[in-house]
Formats: sequence, structure tokens, C-alpha cells
Amino acid sequence: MVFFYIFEEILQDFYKFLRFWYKDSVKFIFDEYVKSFSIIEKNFSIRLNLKNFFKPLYGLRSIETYFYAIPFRIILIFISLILHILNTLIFLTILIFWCLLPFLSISLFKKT
Amino acid sequence: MEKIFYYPQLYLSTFQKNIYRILINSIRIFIVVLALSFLILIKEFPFNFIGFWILIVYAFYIFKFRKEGLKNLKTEDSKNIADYFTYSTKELIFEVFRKTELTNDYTKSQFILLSELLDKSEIKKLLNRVNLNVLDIKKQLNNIIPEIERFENIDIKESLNNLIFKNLEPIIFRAYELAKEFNFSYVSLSCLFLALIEKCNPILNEFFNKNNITTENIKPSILFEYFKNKFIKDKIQPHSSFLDFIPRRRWLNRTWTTSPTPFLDKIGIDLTYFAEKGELGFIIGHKKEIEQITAKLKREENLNIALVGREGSGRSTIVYHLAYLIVKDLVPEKYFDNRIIQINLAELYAGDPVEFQTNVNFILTEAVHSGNVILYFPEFHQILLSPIYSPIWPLIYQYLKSGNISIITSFTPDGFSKSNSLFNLDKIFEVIEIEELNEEEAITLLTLEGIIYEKQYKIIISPQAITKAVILAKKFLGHKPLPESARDLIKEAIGFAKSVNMKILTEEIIGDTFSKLTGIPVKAPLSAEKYILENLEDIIHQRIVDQEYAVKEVARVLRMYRSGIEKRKGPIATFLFVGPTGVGKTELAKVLAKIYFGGEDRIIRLDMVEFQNLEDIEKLIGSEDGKITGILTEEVLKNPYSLILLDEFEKAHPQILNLFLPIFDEGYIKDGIGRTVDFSNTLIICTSNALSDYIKEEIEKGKTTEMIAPIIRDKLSEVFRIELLNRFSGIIIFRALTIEDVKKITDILIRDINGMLMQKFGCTIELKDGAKDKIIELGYNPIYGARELNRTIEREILGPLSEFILKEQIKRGGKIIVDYKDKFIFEIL
Repeated sequence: MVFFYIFEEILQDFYKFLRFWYKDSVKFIFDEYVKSFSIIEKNFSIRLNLKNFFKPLYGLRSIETYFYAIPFRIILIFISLILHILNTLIFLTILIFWCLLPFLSISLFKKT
Repeated sequence: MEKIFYYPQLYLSTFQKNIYRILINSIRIFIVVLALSFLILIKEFPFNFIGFWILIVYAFYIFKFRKEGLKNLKTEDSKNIADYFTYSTKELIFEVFRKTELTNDYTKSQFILLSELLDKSEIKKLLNRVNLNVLDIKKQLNNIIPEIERFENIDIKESLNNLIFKNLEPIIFRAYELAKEFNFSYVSLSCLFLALIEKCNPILNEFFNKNNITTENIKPSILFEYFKNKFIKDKIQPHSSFLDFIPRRRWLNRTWTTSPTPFLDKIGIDLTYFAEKGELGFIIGHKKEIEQITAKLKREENLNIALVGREGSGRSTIVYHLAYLIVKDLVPEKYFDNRIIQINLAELYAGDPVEFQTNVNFILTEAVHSGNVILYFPEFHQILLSPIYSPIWPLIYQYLKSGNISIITSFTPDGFSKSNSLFNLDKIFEVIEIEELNEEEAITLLTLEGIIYEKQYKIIISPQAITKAVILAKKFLGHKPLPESARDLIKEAIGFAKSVNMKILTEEIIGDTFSKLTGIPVKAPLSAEKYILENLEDIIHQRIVDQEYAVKEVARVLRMYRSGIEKRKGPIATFLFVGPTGVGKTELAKVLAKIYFGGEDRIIRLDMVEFQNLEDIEKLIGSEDGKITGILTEEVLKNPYSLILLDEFEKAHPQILNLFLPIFDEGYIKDGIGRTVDFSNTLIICTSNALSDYIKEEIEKGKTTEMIAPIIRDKLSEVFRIELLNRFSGIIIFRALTIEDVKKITDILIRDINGMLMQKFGCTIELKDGAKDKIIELGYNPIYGARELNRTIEREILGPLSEFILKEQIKRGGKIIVDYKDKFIFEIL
């Protein structure tokens, strides 16, 4: 009985580690992804740029500001899209790397 | 789902428990050593790989997992509450079982639990915070454990095990409930400790009480420690994520529709920039006000708001929080990327009114053109009510009327009343009244600020100190709102504690600091004060001659108040002193102020003759528009612990007398501009000369004051309303003075002069009978009593005496003998 409980306790140490690595940490990475997503939205919001697509730049109602507004917003939306894609890619990489790290380290230890 | 506590290791036999305890730790150490040897010695795959990861696991075990349970109380559900207990808590319970079994007496389990808890650093921190000495407590506990008598002998081990569990079960379950109450993720040692305090046996309960270990003490300490570790990171600084970079605050919004604001950037403070940096925006309380602002935002109107509240009530904090909401996009879309810019208009004035107007015009034009600026003008009444600044109002009004600008302003209540009566502001701004924080909110806020002060001043702040500061500030420092008043007190107390090298700010230090600052005694009566209270009549009689009935009644009420048998509502006491003029009514009030409130400067004295007309009510409590300040209310707000002396009370207008009904009854009144003025720490003495002739006649007929008291009371109903008379704690009758009384008063006055002369010039004065009789003859009048006595002594004795002093005719150790033969004769020895 004693040995069974000891075995169970030691297993729990490893269970907690796995829970931390694959549950808590993944959740943390995902939360950070959501935060960075909102930071990009805060600076280059696709939705708001589409909504204000035809509004003049700098609040100035002149031919120039109306003229430049559309290409400018297209650029902003484009930058935003790029950033979102990059952001997603970076986080996916981190996530995959984190999950595979224990296995990836095999090759590292093999070499040394 | 019915919860159980199932931790199977507890049901092992004592021998098995001992084996288990030794083996579990040995095996862990063995695994770590093995892993190290794999990594360092063998160095070959897969040993190095396994060794490395095992070491990682155990590093996490030491620094993280021991403080965690198997399941998270917030997110995971389990029937077995043992899953929520942290590993160290379960380990401790296991140890308690093991050690109790060794004593073979289950009744000791709770004592052993306490003993084990006291060894843990987590619990030591809690006790240190409330200024309790852990070593001392442990020593006392170790002394009482062997003395505890065994309830019964248990021979069968399994039964003993069950009995221990039954003994600890309520504590374990309470610990689980507490962790849920506190919204903790796991059941920690602190929860177990608090549960033990709440659910312990009577002997331990007595032990806790004796050592001042109470739920009230420990609960805030637990939360303080918890917040210290967590809250500061999560809540005070809105940006806690490592990915949250701080973008440079620009005038440009995300859709590039706003224009630059160079002038505003130069002269204003961009609150949204600071909110973005995480330096402001944190708020506690003010839910109602935030809801009002949010509702206005949702209506998509311009944000023209007047925040009306006392200084320190949190007007700016609300604006800062709004800036934070904007930064976090927690406002309607119209306000995304808006900037709140704070401008102190008075600072713009450099002596030239035209330049000032131009600058204000620049501000408003830029704000309108930018399209995303909300202006915040704090203390706007200072602008509107100043002849220098107020000419800019038509300009601002013009912009407000156009509907293109959003302006937030803040006012004090009287500032708003005055400004509103001039400019009809309530039609332009939505008025939001800022209420001061309630005590609970103030405690929460100051607890969090306390964490910052701890770091800043390197001192431990006990939660009780914060609670005490808030209670005292609320009760006595009504002229400032919470939390400002309590914050000031805490800062003063920190300064005091640091100056005497104290490491913990306790509630005693708060009390001492408060007493020093205000002169209000907040501690339980000390021996000196106890002496005063016990001998109050004698002490009063050192200054007041006879008037036994009055003195006794007043002393009785004061003793009741300081002994803690405090009245629930109303002032400390309200007395009506009735009697002829010059018999000692005012003198008794002065004596009370001196011996009880610490000095005659604690008297708020009003001559009610000045309030004979109904309009005079404004002089007393202030006018609704704030133009007239109430003498009574303002003084009480500043000095809530005072003696209020209302001379010639009967002469005030009847409607003004009615004003005192709620004061006598409830202990508070609203002033002209709606502030609640608390009278609960005042002693109110109203004096009246009504029925003086009747009292004099009856006393001359040989009746005592006690005998005529009921008749006087009846007769007073012709002067005052019955409702008012019924609300006095006592109607005290003063009889007219006899010649004998006046002689005694003269002796008292001469004694006072002697004291003063001895202290300042080291000499004394003696009045021969002839001089004394002449003084009484000149100073006493059957109609005006002893009122002239003081002035006669000043004129006839002190006047010539001062001349001798100036001429240096009086030497130290000298004596002046005064006699009267046609005139006062002074002999200097």
C-alpha cells in the first residue's frame, strides 16, 4: 500500500509537469496571441478602416485628402493583414515549438 | 454534489506513515541524483535526455507545484476536495495525523495542527503582519499541549485515525470554503490556519483570544499577502503582458481621420497617454458614477460632464479611469482613439486678458478640429467665479452650444452651486455627483496602496492599521472625504513610525498619530484620564463653586461616553443649562472643554441672539447656492470633536430651533449644499436665562434645585417646544450665587493669578479681607451674578500689578500683599 501511494505521488509530480507544459502554457500562449491580435487591431483596425474608407485624411475636407484617403486606407488594411498573418505565424511557430520541444530536444541530446 | 475529503495516505497505520514519510522524500532525492548522474556522468542518449527533463520536472516541483493542488478550484470540478489542497497543505495534514497518532490522543490533533502551521513561513508572515510574535506563541503552545488532559484512551489504531479525522474534518472543510470565498485557486496553508481559528475547540479558542489571533486580524492579512503577490501585477498596472508594448501616443487615430494638435500637446496633459503607459486608470468603487458616464457614452452624445464632488472624492480618478477605458477600447466605437487632455486654464493666464482669450480660443479650435479630443478642465469653478478668468466663459459656452466639442469639468459642491446660480450649468453639462467611497471601498483601495507604500517606505503595514485609519477618518475627519482623509493619516503615521524606527505600522501607531494630529483621544482611557473621569466632580469643583446638581449630571454623562457605553445616535450629550446670568453656565462649559476636549479652543461658541430671524438659518448651515458658508456646519466639519456652546438658546427663531431636532436626535444634519455634517462626537450645551427670576425666588424660599427641577421643566415648555426639550440628555438648573459662593469664586480667581505669577515671575500675591470684600462689592451684582468679577480683578489688581512688573519692582521669590483702605494698597515684599 505504501509503495502504491509513493508511486502515485511520484506520478503526480510528472502529471503536474505535463499539465503545466501542455495545458497551462498553451493557454498562456493563446492568451498572448489574443492580446497581440488586439494590439494590431488597435493600431491598424481593418474593420474601422473599411468603415471609414471614404473619409478624408486628418479630418481635412479637401480634394487632396479625399484623393489620398482611399489608397492610404488600402495600404493600412494591407499592413494590418500582413501583421495579422505574421502574428499568427509567429504564435503558431511558438506553440508548435513549445509542444514539440521535449521531443525536439532528443536530437540535441543525441548530438551531445 | 456532496463533497468528500479523501486522502488515502491518512489511513495508513502509524508505522506505514513513518515509512511513507521517509521513503517519499528519499525516492524524490534519489530520482534527482539519478537524473544528475545521467546528465553529468553518463552523458549519452537517452540518459542525458531523461536526466535533463527529470531535473526540469523537479525544479518546477520545488518552485511551483508544491504550492498547487491537483485541480484548480476556479476552473475544475471534483468531488474530492483533497484535489484542491496544495501539496504542502496535504503534507502538513499528513504530518498532523502522524504526530497525533504517536501521542495516542486524538484530542491533541488541533494543537499539533497549530504547532505545525506556526512553523511555516506563510503563517509566520501573516502573524508578523499583525505584529504578533510567533516564537512567543509557539512557546506558549508547547507549554499547554502536555497539560491537555486526554479525553479517553484509544487502543485500536483505526479508530484513533477516524477520531483524528472527525476532529479535523470541520477545519478541513472550512478551509475549502474559505479558499472558495477568497476566490483562490487552491486551498493553501493560510486558509487552513484561518479555518482552525474559526472551528477550533474551546481550549484553543481561548488560547487564540488570549494571543489576539482572531479572524478579524488574520483574514485581512491573508488577503493582503495574496494581493501583494498578485494584484499589483494584474490590476494596478493594466499592462502586465510581456507582449504589451507601449506605443508612442499620437494625435493620429487608427483610421487617420484626426488632425494634429500642437498647441494642446504643448500645454495639456494627455491622460490617455499615461493610461496607455499603465500609470493611471485604476479605480475602486464609484460604480454608480462610471455607469452614468458609460450610459452617456452609449447615447452617443457629446461628453459634456460636470463632476461635482469634494476635494479628494475621486473626481480626477474617474476621468483617469475613463482614459483607461478609451485606451482599452472599452467604450462605444465613436470614442475609440479619443484623447482626454487635461488643461489647467488658470496656468495659461500670464497677465494679459487678450492673450488668455486667444489661447483658450486656440485650445477649443484645436480640440474641435482634431476630432478626437475630450478636454478636461479640473476645478472649473475657479475659472467661472474669478473676475480674471471668467470672461472666457462666453467663448467656451459658444463652443459647447455648437455641439462639436466634448468637455469634462470638475467642481466642488459649493463651487458648483455658486457657478450654477450664475451660469445655469446644469442645462449645459450632465451633472454627476461624486460620492465619497464607503468604508469598505476605502479599505480595499488603501490596502492596495499600502502594498505600494510598503515598497516605497520599507515598512510592513498591518491591515488593521488601514481599517483603523479609515474608521477614524470617517468618524472624525469629515471635512475631507474618504479615502483622502484616511490616506493622509496613514502617511503621517508612516512618517511617525519611521522616525522611531518601527518596522510595522500597527493600529496603535495610527491611533497615536491621530490623537497627536487632532487632540482627540481614541485609545481606551489611560490611567491619567481614568483618574480625571473618576474624579470629574472634584476637578470641576476646582473651578466651579457649588452647582452640585449640574456638575453631577454632566459628569455622569461624560463617564458613560468614555467608558464605551456610547449612545447609538446623536451627540455625546446635549444639555440645556438654565439659570440666571453670571452663575457659571458658560464657565462650566469652558471647564468641560478644557478638561475633556483638551482646551477652550475646542469650543464652537454661537450667540443665538444673532439668529432671531428666519433668514439667519443660512448663517448657521449655509445657503443652497453656496454663497453663504454655515458657521455651525463649517466649524463642525473642521472640528468634529468639539464642545458646541449655544448661548441664549431661547432667543433664536423657533424655526432655527427646529433645526436642532435632527441634530439632537440623529446626530447629523445636511448643510445648505447637501453635505452631511456629523455631530456624533460633539457635546452640545445650550444656555438659557429663561425662568431666572422664578429660580431665584424659589431658591430664596429654601427649595433645592432638585425640588424645583420638574416644575422648571414644565415651565420651560412655554419657552421651548416639548419635542426639543425631550431631546436634551439633561436640563440642568443653575441656582443664583450667594455672597459665600462669590467669595469662593474670588478665591479661585486669585489662586489662578497666583499660579500664573509663580510660573512667570516666581512671586505670589495675597489679598487681605478688605481687598477681597471690595473686589466682591465691585464685581458682584445680584442681577448679573459674578460676570463682572473677572473684569474687576483685571482692572483693580492685574492692572497695577503689570505696572510693578514693568518697573521691575517685583523680584523672584517676592510677595505682593493687597489691602483696601479707600483705595487698593499694594505692598511689595
